[in-house]
Amino acid sequence: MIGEVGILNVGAGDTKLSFDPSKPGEVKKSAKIVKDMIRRGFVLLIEVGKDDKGEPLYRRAKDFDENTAEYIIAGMASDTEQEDDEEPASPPRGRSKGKAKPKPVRVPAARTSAVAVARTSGG
Amino acid sequence: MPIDGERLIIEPTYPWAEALGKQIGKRDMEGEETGEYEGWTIANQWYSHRWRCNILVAKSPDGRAVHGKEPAFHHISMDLHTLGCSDAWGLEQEQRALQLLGNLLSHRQMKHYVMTGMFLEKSKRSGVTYIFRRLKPTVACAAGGDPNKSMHILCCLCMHPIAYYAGSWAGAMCPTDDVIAHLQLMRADEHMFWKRSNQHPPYRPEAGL
Repeated sequence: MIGEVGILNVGAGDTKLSFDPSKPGEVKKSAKIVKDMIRRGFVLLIEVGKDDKGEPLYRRAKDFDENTAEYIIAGMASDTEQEDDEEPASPPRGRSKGKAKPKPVRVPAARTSAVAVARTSGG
Repeated sequence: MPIDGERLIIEPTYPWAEALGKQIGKRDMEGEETGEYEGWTIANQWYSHRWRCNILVAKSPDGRAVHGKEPAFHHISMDLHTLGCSDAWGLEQEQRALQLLGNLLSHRQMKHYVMTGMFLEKSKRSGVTYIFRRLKPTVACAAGGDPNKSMHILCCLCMHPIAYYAGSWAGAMCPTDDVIAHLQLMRADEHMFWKRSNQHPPYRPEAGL
């Protein structure tokens, strides 16, 4: 399987980026575009594996490592917790007794498929 | 794509938003010059459960406030606007979006979508069941944690990436691309899906029920 990103777009419709390891020039170009998309507020929705029933699991990429062409995904340890984008009003006082934040997970772009969605205008 | 008679609402950070905004703004001004209500502004508006309509309060140029009722029983106006906006999409784009959706859904779900324009999916995270619909907001249903209870509608979630046409269910992207955006955002980050969507109560015409 060659990693792909389907970008939902206006005009001509969906466009695709490929992360074929046999074409390093193309991978470099795609990596640059994906990094720029994340910076511009696109949401990248990545297939990260399968559940116990064999159905695919998806997560949102928090960032992208342009050098290694890997998606960086946070919070994969817990399905029930959901991290919010908004900053807390004030920093927590004292030592936190809650669970430690799960470490970010890296998923190689060459081995997974993704869908990129632009910022929303409302509805 | 700007369409005559339809107002395109564009996400402000979209690279071509400014250029498109200028073009659309110019057209709006041309229409207003000959309008009967030039200089009038909407001061307030809300939904009346008693009258099942929107109450609008408008201010005239001399400062006089007037109120009126805008019926909100059905959604035929939104249906017709959506039909008008279909000129913005191409069959080729829709076909490409259908192929992508086919890779994301089970055979049964895809059959439902092709035959009826909608399909069901239950969130593994929250247990909420979603009805994803083409050219209509996604319906979120739940049984309130009790499997013996019948489901009730939580709300209808409306969201269009990049841009949408005001007063319609049409987005700038072709209809199935909007469905893919809803589906993948729900699967990957349900919290963000709710945060980014407009939440219409089921009794409003905008909900499309």
